[in-house]
Amino acid sequence: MGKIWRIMVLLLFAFPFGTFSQEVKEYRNIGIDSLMVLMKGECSQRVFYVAGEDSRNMNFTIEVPQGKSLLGQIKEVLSGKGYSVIPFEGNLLVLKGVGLTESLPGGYFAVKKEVKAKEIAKDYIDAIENVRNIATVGNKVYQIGSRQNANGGKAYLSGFVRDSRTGEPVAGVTLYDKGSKAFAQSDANGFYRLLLASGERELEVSGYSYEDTRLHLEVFGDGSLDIVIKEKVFSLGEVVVSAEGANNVRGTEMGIERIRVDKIKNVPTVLGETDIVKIILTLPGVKSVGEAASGFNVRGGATDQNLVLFNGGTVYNPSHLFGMFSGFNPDIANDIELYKCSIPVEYGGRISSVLDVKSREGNNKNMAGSLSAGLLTAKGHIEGPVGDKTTFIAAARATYSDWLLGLLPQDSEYRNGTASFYDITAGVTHKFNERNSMQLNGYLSDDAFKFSVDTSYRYSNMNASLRWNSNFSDRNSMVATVGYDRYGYSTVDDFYPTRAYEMSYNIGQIYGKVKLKTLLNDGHSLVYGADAIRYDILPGKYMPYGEESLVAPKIMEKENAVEGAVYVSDVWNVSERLSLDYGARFSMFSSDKFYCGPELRLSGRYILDDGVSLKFGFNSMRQYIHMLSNTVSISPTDTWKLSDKDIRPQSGWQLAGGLYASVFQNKVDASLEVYWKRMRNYLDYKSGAVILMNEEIAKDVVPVKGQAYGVELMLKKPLGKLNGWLSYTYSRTRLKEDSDRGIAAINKGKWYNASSDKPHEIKLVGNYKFTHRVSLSVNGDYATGRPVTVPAAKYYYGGGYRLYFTERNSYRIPDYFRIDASINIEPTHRIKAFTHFSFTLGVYNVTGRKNVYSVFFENENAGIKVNGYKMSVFGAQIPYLTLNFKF
Amino acid sequence: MFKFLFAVLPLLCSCVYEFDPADVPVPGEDGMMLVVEGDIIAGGITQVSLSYTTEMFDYEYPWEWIQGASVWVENEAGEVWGAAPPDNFADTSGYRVQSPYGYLKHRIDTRDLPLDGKYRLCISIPDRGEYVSSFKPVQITPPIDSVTCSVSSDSLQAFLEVTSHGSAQETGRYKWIFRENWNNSPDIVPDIQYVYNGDFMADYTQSQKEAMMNCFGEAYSSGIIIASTEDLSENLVYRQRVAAIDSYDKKVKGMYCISVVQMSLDEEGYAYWESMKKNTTGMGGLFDPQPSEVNGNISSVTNPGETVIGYINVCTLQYGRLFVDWEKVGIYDRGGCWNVIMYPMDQWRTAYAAGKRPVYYGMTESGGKDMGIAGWVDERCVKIEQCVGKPSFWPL
Repeated sequence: MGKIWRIMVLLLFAFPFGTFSQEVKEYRNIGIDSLMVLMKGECSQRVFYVAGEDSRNMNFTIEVPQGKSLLGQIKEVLSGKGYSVIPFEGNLLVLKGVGLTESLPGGYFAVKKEVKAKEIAKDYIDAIENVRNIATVGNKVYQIGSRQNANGGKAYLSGFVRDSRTGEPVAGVTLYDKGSKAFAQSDANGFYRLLLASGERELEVSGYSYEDTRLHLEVFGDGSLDIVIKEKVFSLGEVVVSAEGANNVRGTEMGIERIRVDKIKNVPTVLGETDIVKIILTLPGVKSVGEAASGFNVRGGATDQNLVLFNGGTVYNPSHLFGMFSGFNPDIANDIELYKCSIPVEYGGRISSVLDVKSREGNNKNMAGSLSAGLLTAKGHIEGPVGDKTTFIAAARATYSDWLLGLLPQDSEYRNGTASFYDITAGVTHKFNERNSMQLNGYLSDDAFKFSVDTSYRYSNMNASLRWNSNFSDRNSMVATVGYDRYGYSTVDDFYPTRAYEMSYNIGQIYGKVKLKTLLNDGHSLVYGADAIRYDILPGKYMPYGEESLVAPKIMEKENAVEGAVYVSDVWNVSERLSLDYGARFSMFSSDKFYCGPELRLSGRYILDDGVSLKFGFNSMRQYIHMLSNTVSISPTDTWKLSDKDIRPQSGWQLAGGLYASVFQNKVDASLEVYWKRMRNYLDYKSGAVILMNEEIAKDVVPVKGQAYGVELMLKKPLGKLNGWLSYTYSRTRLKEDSDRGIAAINKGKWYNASSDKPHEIKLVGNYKFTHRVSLSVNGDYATGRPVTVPAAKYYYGGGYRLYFTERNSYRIPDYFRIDASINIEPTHRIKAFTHFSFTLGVYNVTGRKNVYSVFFENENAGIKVNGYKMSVFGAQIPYLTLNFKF
Repeated sequence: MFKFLFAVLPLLCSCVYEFDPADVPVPGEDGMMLVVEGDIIAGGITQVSLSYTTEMFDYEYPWEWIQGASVWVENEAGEVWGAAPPDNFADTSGYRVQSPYGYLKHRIDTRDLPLDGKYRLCISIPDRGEYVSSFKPVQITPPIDSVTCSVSSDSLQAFLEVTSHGSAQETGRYKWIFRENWNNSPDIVPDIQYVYNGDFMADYTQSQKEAMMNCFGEAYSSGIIIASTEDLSENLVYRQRVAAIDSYDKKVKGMYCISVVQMSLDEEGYAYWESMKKNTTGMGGLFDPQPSEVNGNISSVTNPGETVIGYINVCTLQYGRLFVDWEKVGIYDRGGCWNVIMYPMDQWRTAYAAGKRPVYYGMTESGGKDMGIAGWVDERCVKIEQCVGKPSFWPL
């Protein structure tokens, strides 16, 4: 918390400056402290002001001619420097900016509970930092715009929402004026903009885990107001996802999930490691093929159809350690948005969903950090200010999981395996001024593992980006980003020294994006901009490994392409009840062939009644880069391939509708969403496909069309002692080869189940706070077993039994069921304590159910018997203990 | 804390359970598919076996080779090579198609097959139809340079390896099959045996003991062993592992012989075998590819849509053989078979019931036999599981 200066001077100690003199008095070059003393002496009132860096360096010269009061002159001088002096409840407040109206509307205090002046002042000053117009308590009236220029029409209010403790911008906070049904939400930078009718307004400000605030405004014209909100005390242990019910009901977007990582740390996860992707998997409509599977499937989309962005850069393989962890360090990655349906126009390039992860800005008040240790990883972070205008944040995470593989049974083929990873995330934010800031972000992750002594894998993601945020006028803002992303992997196999090789692959992309927002006066707000990406892919490099290797070096021809897009969208508040968000994106792609096409995005909301709304959405998307794989989950040797003359771009559309309501006195948000989705030119592998080092890979994959549909029901109780959510999803995803191969086609050209097709799924995330120190978290998941391919027959060939596989994904593994529980204990809550210590004790898979990941069949007994096996990844209870230190 | 660590043990591969056969679907509409195995051997006898696929877990089903079919080889000009008389020559190549239920092979005399033609296999099965493989040129197989053996650094496994090189013009895709023969005498050749019904000891005769000493084991390769030098700068296969033997296997106790047959595959044939290998062994892991079926090169003339399993390759054969006297290598793990426990007569019945077997009588103080006491070992130390005759090529 920043240093707050509070001065209370009693009359007794007032300075005997010459206030009784009749001559012209002059006070030259006095500092603010002296000025305050003067004021106190003059008026015998308590004076409150904020000592920021700027005010401390200020010098004042005050002349008091005859007949003028010292206080009046001081006020005049202060107002010349942008400060106002406001008497309030027997005190004087010196505030930067226009601040408060000098009087409250008549009868105001007659209806509102009276608040003690001291408390008001304390709260107010506690919250004010060196910013302009700041609002923090509801019992004041904030004047927006100038009374003189009042025109009686509508006016724009904009500003930033910040956390009172750390000063960080807070995203996803909703601002709602019930009277004019104006609604806005703060963006990732905490910025909001709201079109209000002039006059007296009551603005509801609510954000997850923040205290709800009501602000009383008197709106005369366009103006700005920064809002400081306080985190709810002792919100630890709360399971909170996405902004509040008000948002759900009022926003036009549909199928969007917002998550704040610091609020979900107690959701039980494998081995006690908080993980973003694992949390996403607790949401309806998001599935994975299995417990240790990397990647996720959104509403029937494939794993490569999700655009995974970290600070604007694309992360091609967002997983660590065979998919047990995602690549984002939860200490630093904070605001997470998953778009399942209403995908904003600024996003493109993937046809299923967008996962946008942003790292936090560093604490701008003081240095802070954390350290934590779990069974497999240790991680830490540090953040703080550098000077006045710059903050930094950096985090690192590493594993010590080798011991885990070492403990495997003697006869296990993985016993000699090793596995390690690390990731580093860092960011620097610099604020040039109130309107311009810049952010530099870097990310590096590296994974290396070996299952046997002779085959090793390594992969690495790298992102660097520079972002410029500018609110260059009250109605216009811009975000411009440039960056470079890289993903690469390599495999070494040295079982036979003469055939030992190292195979490597990498993809690099340079991109630039500009997004602009303009608010038009008549209820429209425009978003428009352009993107460009240049891809460079080395599809494969096959090199000898070691001295004895006879491997002939082979380097495949590089692929490159340029992708570009322009887009525009408009949010149109048609009436108080109806709001539309519509837009289009036109994307272009050029490799050895040029492709282009429009993408439409449309969503709308109609408020039926207070707390009940209907929404609909349609979006179409195009994708020019494809992941080629013959494994069920993302593997470290999956190849990304650009569209070319043989491989057409993927495209898809989704139509969705939903009903949203706040029920049980607005304590529970209920939603029902239905969707229908089609895909074209998704690539599936042909039987016997060779994915790596294949120069004619287009011949080994076939275009597939897909259809998906589903219903998602969700009940969410975001706050209270008992909080969490319960969801049920029914969904189907089916694919069909789209070629003329006849009987040779996948499943003879009939529809077949996608690997992620798990029709019924029930998910529960619950949290119960016994006391402020102890809470219990429960996480449950039931799903239909995923489809797998099993042999239909066996035959004797080459001295043993062999298996004959026919229909792809025609059989299902047993249903999946898992429940996890954890107890979170925080022994101390003292805010002033130097370190905060907490620990979590939990059990993953409480029932110990041996959930099946895969089934497979092997020849036994010199080939004369075939045995079937089921493999479970976590087929037992897994207790864990995680310790956390915060400083 | 350590308890927590152990809780994580079941992670990854140790959670593998047997799969309930009842869960597996019955074969689809394909029903019983024809399976054709064999290669057209230029300069040798072509052997072909015909069978049908069976249900996954149906082991009760009596193995049945297809009877009454006729097979022949023809070239593009329509010239035909027909069945070879079964006993016309001695088949010592070690190459054969076999099953645990015995084998029935169709033999075609292709010893004079010109190397410059293209050939296919034709099959006629009464009541089912006519089948042909695609025409393929002869793949010339380079000779085996050497067959070698090595022992793992922890002495727990022995490996048999093949080295071969071919010219750059040859395909560089190899497949091997092998046959193993070994002296299969028991760890301890017993002097006596216990007759449970009469509760007495009977002596083995000298000739019985010699027969035990001369027991031989025989096994054929059951895995798919293939390698490609396509990615290498030379067509060289260096010490390709064809067999691995655990140190407790009787194969590495004494004299042992491996007879390796090498053949070249064309590209399509290699892909076929590789897919079959992946589908049978490399499945179920986290990053293992999903199973997929690759079509062979046999099709039905009568019913073109019918799926036929099998790939008919046309090639010459090369042979290699290695004798190893494992006694000199000394890696055999007798697993306690030196551990002879003496039981007096009144404990024999109990010892027998506990799975022990006698090997010799005790000795009296004067050095004579004490027939009231006998030395016993675990049954496996005296048991003979397989006893075929000494192979004709055996050196001793």
